[in-house]
Amino acid sequence: MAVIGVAVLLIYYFYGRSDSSHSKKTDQVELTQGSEESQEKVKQKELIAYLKQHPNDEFAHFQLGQLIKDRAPFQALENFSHVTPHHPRYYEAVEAIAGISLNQKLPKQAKKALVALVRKYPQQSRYQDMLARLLLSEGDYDRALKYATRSIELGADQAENYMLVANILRQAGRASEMPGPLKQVLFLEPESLEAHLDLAYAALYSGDLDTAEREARWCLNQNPLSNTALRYLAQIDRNRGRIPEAFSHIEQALVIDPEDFESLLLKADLLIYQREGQQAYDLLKPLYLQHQTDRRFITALSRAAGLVGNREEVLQLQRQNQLLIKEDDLKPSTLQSETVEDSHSR
Amino acid sequence: MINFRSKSVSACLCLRSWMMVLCCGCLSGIDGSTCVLAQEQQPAILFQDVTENSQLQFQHQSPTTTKRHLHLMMGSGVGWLDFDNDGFPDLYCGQGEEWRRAKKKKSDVSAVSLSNRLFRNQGKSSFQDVTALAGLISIGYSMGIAVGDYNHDGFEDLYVSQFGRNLLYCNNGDGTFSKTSQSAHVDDPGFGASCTWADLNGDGLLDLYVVNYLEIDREKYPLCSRKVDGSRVYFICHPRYVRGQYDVIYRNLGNGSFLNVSKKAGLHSESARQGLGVFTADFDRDGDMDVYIANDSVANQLWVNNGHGVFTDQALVAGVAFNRAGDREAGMGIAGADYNNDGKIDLFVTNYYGETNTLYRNEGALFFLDVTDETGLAMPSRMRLGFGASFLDMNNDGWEDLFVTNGHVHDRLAQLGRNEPYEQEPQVLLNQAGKWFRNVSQQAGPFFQKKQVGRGSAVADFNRDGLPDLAVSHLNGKLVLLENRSVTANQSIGLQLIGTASNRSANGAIIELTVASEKLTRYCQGSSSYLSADENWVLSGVGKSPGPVTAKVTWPLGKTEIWSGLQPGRRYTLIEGASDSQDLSQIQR
Repeated sequence: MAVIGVAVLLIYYFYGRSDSSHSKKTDQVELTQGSEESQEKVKQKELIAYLKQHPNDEFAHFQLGQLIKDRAPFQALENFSHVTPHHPRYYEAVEAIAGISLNQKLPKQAKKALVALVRKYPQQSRYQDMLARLLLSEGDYDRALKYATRSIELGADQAENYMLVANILRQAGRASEMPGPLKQVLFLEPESLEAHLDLAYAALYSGDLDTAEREARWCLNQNPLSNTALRYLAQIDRNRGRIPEAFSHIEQALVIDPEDFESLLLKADLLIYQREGQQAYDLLKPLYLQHQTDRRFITALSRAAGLVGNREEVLQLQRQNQLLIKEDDLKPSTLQSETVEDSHSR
Repeated sequence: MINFRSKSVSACLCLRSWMMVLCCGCLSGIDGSTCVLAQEQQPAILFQDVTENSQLQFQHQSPTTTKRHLHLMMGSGVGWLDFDNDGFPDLYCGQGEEWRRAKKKKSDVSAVSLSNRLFRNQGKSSFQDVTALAGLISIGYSMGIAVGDYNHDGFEDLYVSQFGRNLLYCNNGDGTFSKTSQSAHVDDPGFGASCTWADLNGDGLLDLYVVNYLEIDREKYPLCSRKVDGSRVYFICHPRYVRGQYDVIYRNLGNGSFLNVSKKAGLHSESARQGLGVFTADFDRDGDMDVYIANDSVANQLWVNNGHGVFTDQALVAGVAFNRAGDREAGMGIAGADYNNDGKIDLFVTNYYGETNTLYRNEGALFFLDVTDETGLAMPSRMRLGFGASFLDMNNDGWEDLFVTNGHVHDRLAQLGRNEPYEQEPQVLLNQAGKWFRNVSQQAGPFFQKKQVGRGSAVADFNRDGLPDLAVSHLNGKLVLLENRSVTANQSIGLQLIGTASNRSANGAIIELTVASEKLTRYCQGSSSYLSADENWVLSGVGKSPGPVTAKVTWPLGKTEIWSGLQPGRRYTLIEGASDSQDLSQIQR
């Protein structure tokens, strides 16, 4: 008891000391920040007042934008937009616009700014990289790939840059091309779990089941709780026609996370294949409200309903799926035309 | 007015005298083992390209244009028919046509090389070009081929869909054909893709189903492009940019002419789609022919027949409109067979690069399940663009295997920053007892290592050795004849069905073979694959069973008959109404 008592006292002593010294430091920082903030506010007021008198002063707009960009990003955007290409700080303003637009999720403005930066600084890899990420988020995979690749050509050879290329290819439905950049990632970061998992996916997608299995098993060794790796193993088994083994892997994945939707969907699919319609239906039906806009889910449920003989529900679900298909909902690898003309018009 | 029915009866009487003819197709190496439906440990599947040795010289003509007119990428089909009834299947090859070429006269000698061609099988693994002799020279862009005896005269006729007016060739029975497209009113001017003969209204006559692809005005041809590095790169338009065109049903009036009944038959009950593949069968087993259509990038259709030739699309409820993920796929060709020997016809559809080819397992009661992944068919097909697909029992083990021919539709993908090959290897997939398909392409011969732009495929045992062979068409390339040289002790049985009350080609007949204790269901089908037509004979592997084999035939009009005592390794002609059995359909009623 005495030992415990001494220990508690020591902890209290050190904790109290460190806590008090920490609060002193914090006080000092807050004081400095406070004075900086008040200085900035004064400067801000002065600039606003100045701009009322001189609304076309681009440098004042630029300065005000810089001053307020964290606190009032939309106002800052407005200020930066007053800086014209003739002004020497123009591209700094454009960069600021790009940054704010990306943070505020304004892709149109961000894209316009980044395109301008890429044109002005074609040798700067980071603008290419930023633009690639933006285009990826917009689903413009071809252009995203162009800028991501260019970024690497310009010297951005970090694992994250190659990972970006791999991600674009994955989203673009070009998984067979993923191994190239992923091998670069693994050269730079041999232990990257994400890259190994992606390599398993790419190999699975392209039909190289041996590589897929090797990579998935490596991931599972590194992280025995990776239900993605287990799911990949289940998919590999399924593609090899080893249905009991696929069930075994998916059950393991569901032990780790009983509510993992992808695993549940795969389990239902396996049950459907084995004509265990009722089991699949009972597994899927409770998930309906949560996943009623997921076409894979809707179709799986309709398949299960069909097996149990509920044709009306099959039709209703298939129609629901049909309604969920958008006109542009084509495979990402589909070649889209920029222009459609007729021979007569030429 | 010709009455084909009465003509068919007289033809039938003649045939009765030599019914059950043994066509001496005995296989070499007969082995007395009683193992049925053998599963070989090591597949010894081998196909040999014998095109040159067979004197089959056919070069498809479809040169691309700078602006990549899309029909020039579609290719043409092939069809097997025994036009001279000599017991050996002859080969008809669809030809393409250069865009805006100056018209050639039929009499022009060089016109033959630009025409669809008929090659007569001389019976010794060699073929002779009889196009001109047969009066079959035609210039145009031909697509689909359908073979069937529409006038019940005992000779197989030809229908050819085109990018332009379709053609009907009536077999005169003397080695020549007459073009009757106009007089028979079947010269549809659309963009014809696959086409097939089938008795769609149950009157015992073969009607025509023509799949149309796109609504294209030749004068306002849709052209698609992108700017790449400052210059415009043209590529063929995705079907989303061009309207689909309604399919056509021609009802056979039995007097040599046909009536377009497409609207009345219900085909206009939904908007026109971009169709390419067709397969007809009685999917719901209600005694009439239904039609499955593979559409390009839109939902596939399953036209279910009400028994009177009126159809409703039930693809959604049947689970064959989309794939398992609910995605519409870019359907090209269709093959149908009972791959798992459960007595029900399953469907296999070839699709676009990045998609899988899709196998729909028939669960009965007009409901299908996409089982592509579980059967091992997803992996080999995702990085391929499949066109022709044929079920054939390559090693006669009683399980239907698959052949797929591949090739892209875009030849400038590298320029457009894509890494998808234009020329691709064909594939053979060996059925492992109805559970899984093993990709044996690497071991199946040099043809399967060669990258080509494959389009149509059709099956026939052209050399009558009891193993199914293949003819494969290539876009702007040479036709290839593949002889099946697989090493196997398994045997097959060949059956030719002749309808008397039913359509004479017996399209739609179902054959249930009993081999020892196993049952195999086979189909006498119309066109399949992509734009192509298999031989009318049904060749079924029966494993190593010494026999006898019993064949129960359900004729298209519903009558059921049994032939017993059939021997493996032989070929038989079964004529409707001439079996050794009673009419089971009467008893069953």
